Amino acid sequence: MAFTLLHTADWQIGKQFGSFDAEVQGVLRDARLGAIDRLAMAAEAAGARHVLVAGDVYEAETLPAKTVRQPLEKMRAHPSLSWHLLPGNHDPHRPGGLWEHLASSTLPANVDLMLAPDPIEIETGIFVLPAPLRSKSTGSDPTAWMDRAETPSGALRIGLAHGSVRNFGHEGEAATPIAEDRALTARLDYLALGDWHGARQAGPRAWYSGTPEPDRFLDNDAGMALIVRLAGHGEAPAIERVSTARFSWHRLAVALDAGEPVAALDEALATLPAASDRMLLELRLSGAATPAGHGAIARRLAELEPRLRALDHDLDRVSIATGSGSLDWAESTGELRLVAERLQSMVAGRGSEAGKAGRALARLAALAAGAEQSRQGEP
Amino acid sequence: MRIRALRLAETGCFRDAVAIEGLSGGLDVLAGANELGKSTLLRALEALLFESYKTDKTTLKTTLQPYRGGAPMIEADIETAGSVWRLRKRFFQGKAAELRRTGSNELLRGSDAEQRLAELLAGAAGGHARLLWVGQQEGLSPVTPGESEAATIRSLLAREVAAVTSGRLAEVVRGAVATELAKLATPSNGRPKTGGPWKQALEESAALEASTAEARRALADAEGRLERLASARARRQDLADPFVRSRHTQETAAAVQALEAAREAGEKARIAEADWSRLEAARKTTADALARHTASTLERDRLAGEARAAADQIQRAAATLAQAARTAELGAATLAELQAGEQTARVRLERARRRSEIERAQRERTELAGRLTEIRALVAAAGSARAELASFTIDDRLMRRIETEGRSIATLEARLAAASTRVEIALDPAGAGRLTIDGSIVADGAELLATGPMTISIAGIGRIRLEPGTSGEIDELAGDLAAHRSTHRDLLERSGVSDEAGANELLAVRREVESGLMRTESRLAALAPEGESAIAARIAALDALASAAAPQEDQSIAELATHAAGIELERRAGERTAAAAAAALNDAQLQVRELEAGGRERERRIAELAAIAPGRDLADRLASALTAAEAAANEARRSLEAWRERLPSPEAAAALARRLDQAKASEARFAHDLNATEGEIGKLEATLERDKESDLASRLSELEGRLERARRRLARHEQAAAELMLIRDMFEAVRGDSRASTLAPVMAALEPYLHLVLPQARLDLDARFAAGGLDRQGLQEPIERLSGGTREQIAVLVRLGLARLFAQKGMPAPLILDDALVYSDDERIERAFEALRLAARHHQVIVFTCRTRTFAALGGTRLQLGPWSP
Repeated sequence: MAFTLLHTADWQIGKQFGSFDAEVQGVLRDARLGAIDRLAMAAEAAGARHVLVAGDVYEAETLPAKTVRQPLEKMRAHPSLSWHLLPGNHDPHRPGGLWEHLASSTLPANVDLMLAPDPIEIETGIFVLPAPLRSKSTGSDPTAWMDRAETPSGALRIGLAHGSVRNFGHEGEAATPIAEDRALTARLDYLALGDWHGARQAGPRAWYSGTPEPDRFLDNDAGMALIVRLAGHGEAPAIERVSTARFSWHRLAVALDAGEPVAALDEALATLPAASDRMLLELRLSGAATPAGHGAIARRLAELEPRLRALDHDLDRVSIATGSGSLDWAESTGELRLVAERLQSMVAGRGSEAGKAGRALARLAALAAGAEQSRQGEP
Repeated sequence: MRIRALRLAETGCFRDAVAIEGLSGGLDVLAGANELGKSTLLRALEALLFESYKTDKTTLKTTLQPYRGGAPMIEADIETAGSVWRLRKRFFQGKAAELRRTGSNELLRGSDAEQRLAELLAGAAGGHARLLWVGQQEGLSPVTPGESEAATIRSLLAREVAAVTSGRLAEVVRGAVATELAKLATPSNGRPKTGGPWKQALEESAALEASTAEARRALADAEGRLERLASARARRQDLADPFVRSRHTQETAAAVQALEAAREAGEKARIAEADWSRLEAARKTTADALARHTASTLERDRLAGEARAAADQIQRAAATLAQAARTAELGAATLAELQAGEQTARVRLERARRRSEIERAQRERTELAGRLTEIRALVAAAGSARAELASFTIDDRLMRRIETEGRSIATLEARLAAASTRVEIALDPAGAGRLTIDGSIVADGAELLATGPMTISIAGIGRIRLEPGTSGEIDELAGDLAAHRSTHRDLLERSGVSDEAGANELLAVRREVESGLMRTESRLAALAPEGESAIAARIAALDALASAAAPQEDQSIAELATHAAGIELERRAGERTAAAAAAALNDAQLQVRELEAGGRERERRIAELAAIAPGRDLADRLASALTAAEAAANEARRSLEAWRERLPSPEAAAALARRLDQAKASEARFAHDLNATEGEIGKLEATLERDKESDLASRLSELEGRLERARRRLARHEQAAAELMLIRDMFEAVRGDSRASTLAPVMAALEPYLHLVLPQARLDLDARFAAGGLDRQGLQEPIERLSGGTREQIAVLVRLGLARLFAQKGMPAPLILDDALVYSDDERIERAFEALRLAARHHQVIVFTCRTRTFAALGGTRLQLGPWSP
């Protein structure tokens, strides 16, 4: 009994991206909604008729009706697929909550809400054992009932749950523990999990699919969905990762070289895909640069920023190099030189004001460079 | 640079062209009287060196324009860098400049000459030479170089003091720092500037903090509502459980049933009690009828016995009544007799009293008649006395006047005697009768007053004529005396007497008469206080009373009164006896009437009883009916008791009611809870719908993002402000340090002169080399508070220091003093001369002074003003 499904989770529709400016926020929100189309295409391409969404379909329980309905309409647009939605810790199924509201409304025919911990036969001989969350934090394993769930002999048993698999190595977002061997104890052919935003195996026959559209600067293989192929009950599942991300989020740590800080930066950037408006970059800068180097990096970052969807950096954390020649930008004599030397001395002294002095030195260099440019521009 | 010669034509006050030649280049002194033209010479030299030949400055014209017209032409020989240059300029008209290097063919004109001159002066530290000019009165002002001069000095020193100049780039950066900082913060206190981006970020961050907290609360509230909705729904499910609901209904029904059973038992008991009451009443009625019948029979028998006893009593009462009637009749007769006797006694007593009264009136009349006689005699005596008194010619008032006049006469006589000549006569026995005065014989021992001329004749002897001197007093006294004597005589005559003794006697008689009259009137008042007529009227009244006939009665009033009193006592005893007899009679009559009435009542009662209990068969019937009624009543009582036994006790009945109330309350509470829960659910659902539409989570997320961005902005501004302030402070610190370094060589150059003129003093210079004050042994003295002489000396000293500094730098310039040191005392000026002489070893010192004698001690080369032929 071969069966193929697409496993996804953590759509978190309605999620805001407040740390970005309004334009980026809107684009990222649209990208999350658009991921449904990309998931549908991936499923159809893989020959899957069912999409299992392992929780956190929505960002919150109190969303406007329009926000709630938008993904349903997306799913309705793909009638060849059945969408099985599970409440997660972001959107638990509580009395009066959005799931109850949805259940009492007219849903697209291809949308199925997994709101009760009962086996559901989605196709002949194919049973989904859902573990819907009824609160943000349960403390108990919502998949425990699966061990006792009866299904016909030979039927495929597919678990669908949202939580943190014990000993998985992360706490996840949901304070909901899931036994690491649940797939075995419940005789599951596959346990589709949600909560961890990257695609990763969590145990025997148990996988997190991750979110289909990345939403943070974490190197956790986000932006994926899993094509799961089940040859028959008791057979090992075949897992295929498919990319569904529109935007790539990158966090890059760069240790700057005081001598050639820009080169160090460029070298690090070269490890990333080409900059584009589908890339969001967070630069974690460290090391030291001369005040002039600071200015050069700042200019480099200023050039880079418009080529990206978003750029975040912490150039302020880069300390000031105090070696010989580091004050070449300042005049050889005079007050400017003396001021620069005194600031550099504070930096070298590593006292409590060293950081401020370093930044002040960089700022002084930038002002001097600006003044020099103005002077050169004078007739 | 040294000035070697100066020449002027058509300049200022000078009529003719003049020249000062032969300046030594060391200490050169031009001493001369006022209006010699020293100031014109200095202004001319200044214009030559520092003004363009093309200038049209009004102030310069005022100073240099010749009084007699023309164009100033000024020429000087200047030695610098080993060369001597002759510089000539013509101003205002025919403007021209010419610079010629002596000993060579180098000649420049016009602007070229000016350009070359500027180079020569610049080689001598630019305009620094201007600093070394001290004009008249300028010495009193502190040295205050302008910024350009100060910059000149700094640039001069920059070759040795590192980084004393800020440099243009530094100034620009410094300005940029100030500009950037001013955008963010208030430079004076480093706080965020109102309206600036830092302040805006601060305010935005605070506002977003509040908004985010509010949104977080709103979302928490919304999630709380979800929790409450879940719990409300679970509660509703419990409340809606049919089993729970039916349990409440059954409990109420059971309570109602138990209470109904209790109520039915109560109703039955009430009916049974009514039956029993009715039957018991019937039994009682029958029993009462039988009792009444029995009682009537017994009463009738008793009344018959009483009637018999009453008949005997009536008989005895009738006998008593007859006896009482007799006793009463006898008592009444005795009383009538006693009353008559009492009346007689009273008449006799009255008669005796009448007689006594008439006798008393007669006695009074007799006494009053005697008194009236005395009264009338007294009245007559009083009238006589009054008539006698009226005849008296003297009274007390007249007597007092006589006595007064007598005393006046005596006084006047005494005064007259004292004033007059007294003549005392002492005669020998033989002379008796022989002496006459004014014809009258004078006896021996006579004393006379000679108040007027007097003739004393002694028979046989002759006459002696006395003529006392004229005296107004004596005449006046004599006149007064005569007047008083006349008045005295008149008064005595009015009194009918001849002298005061007679008058006193007569007055004594009058007083005796007055005394008698007073006694008479006093007696009259005692005898007839109400007047004589009242006495007469009383006598008349008594006469009328006594005229009636006196009744005849032989016994006295006392005897008659005693008799009457005894009869009265008897009469009263008789009255009591009669009253007792009458009362006894009345009692007997009443007793008889009562007995007769009782008999009649008994007869009526007997008749009634006979009607009630006519016979014995009725009593039998009543007894039998009573038996039946008692049986029925007993049956009813048993029924009643049976129902009462089934009736719950009051406590049990109250418990049943409570049970029902509780069951109903529980059911109502159940319904209310259900209803309230439904309402709560409805409200929560409605609110949650609004929560959803408000998109609380999204708003919170958005606010958190905005807050994060705002905090970053704020941190950037805070950081930028801190960095800019640090840079600014560093610039200030560096500049402060540089200032100290710059001043050091100036102070060093100044020190030898300062030590000479103001030993133990230290001069404070600011960044522009201006003297700010003097420090003498730790005492700070601002320049403004120093004396004019000291300020003048400081001005010279500072210029000496600068001039020496310039010389040390290889760019000597002349120090020029125009009538300086005018306020200095002899000692101080000597020291100043020493300083000038010392300075002249290093550079030229040119002194112009009008104080020839004082400055003779200065020494140096004495300059002379001589003619010049241009």
